Amino acid sequence: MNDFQPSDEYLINCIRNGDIEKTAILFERHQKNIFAYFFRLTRNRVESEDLTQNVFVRLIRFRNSYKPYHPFLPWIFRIAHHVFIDHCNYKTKEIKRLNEYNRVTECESENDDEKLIVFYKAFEKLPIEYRELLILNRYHELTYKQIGESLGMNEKAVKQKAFRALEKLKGECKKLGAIDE
Amino acid sequence: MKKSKENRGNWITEDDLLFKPLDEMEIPEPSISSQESFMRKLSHLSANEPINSRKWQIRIYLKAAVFAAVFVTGWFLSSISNRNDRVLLQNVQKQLDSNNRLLVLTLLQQPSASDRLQATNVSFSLPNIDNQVINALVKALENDTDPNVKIKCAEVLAAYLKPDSLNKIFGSALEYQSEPLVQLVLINYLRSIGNAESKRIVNNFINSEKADEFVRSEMKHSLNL
Repeated sequence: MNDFQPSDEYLINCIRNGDIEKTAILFERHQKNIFAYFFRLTRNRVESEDLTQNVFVRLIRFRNSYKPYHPFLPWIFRIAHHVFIDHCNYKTKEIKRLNEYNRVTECESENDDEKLIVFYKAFEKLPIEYRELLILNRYHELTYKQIGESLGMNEKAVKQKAFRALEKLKGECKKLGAIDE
Repeated sequence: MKKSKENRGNWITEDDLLFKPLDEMEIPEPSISSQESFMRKLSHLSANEPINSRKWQIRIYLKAAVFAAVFVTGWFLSSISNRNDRVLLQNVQKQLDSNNRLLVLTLLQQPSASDRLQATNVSFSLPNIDNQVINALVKALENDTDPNVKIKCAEVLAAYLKPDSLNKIFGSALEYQSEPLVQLVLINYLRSIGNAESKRIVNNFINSEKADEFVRSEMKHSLNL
């Protein structure tokens, strides 16, 4: 049995050189992670699956934008960030009501507990960028610098926005009575 | 999901309570159909990719080949055209020189002094003068009835011939000159050559009886003799 586990960076370099079937390995390796990222943002399983697929299709299409010897994870989350922004813009144009999109999705909230619904009511009041930042930082083990690379900002801006995002989330939760004053 | 605290700021850890509902939220597994769907897309993409890549390479090579062919053809046609033009131009130039040579010889025979002067002017446009033209010019220098023609002939000969030849021709021509102006011009040409032979010719001529009195006195004055 071959125990060799090629690194993500090695695989993306192979893909850059034309061996795009290696994308299957990256997909299997990161599908859950990217799916969880989108699921926490959308709370919609079907949308998250579509968005996850889009990320890997874009990975193939924009494989030459990967800079060799750079970490793979911030790069793929950068793609995910753009996919999500495009998705939001598309949805906004499609339904012409951003608030409707931002509302807690009914089908997913049926089985959720009350605290989670209230949390999401507060969470979805935040700008998309703040939501992505909080999720990347808390659940995807990215450093501030890597989050900056993913979201297209510098490390200092990430720290400032993270602080503001958290303060805003706290404020919204307080308004909804989710946490004590 | 296991949370890493090493890479995160303290602001998150202090607010675990705030994120507790999200932390506890169950993340479903992506469906098998989603994975299968992506694998189908991937196989479709990988099936098309090499072809597209090859097509792109072939298109580049084709463009390069067409460009090279056009360039080589253009260069070849241009070189043939240039070669033909050069040969044609050389022939025309040769023809023109031949005509000018004949014109000089013919005009020098004309009774009109202005025609003979015209001959000397045309002779300046010749790339080189052969013996026939030199003989005609020398004959005109020695025997022409018009001093202006003689002076012009001397000018043409001085422009084309080497000093040794000039010494002989001008020394001989001086013997035939009676006009003081022509004598002075020839003496000045000989003096401008400046070698021993030309000095000897000038001295001999000044001291001979053929030298005009005015020319002799001018020369003696200028040479401080």
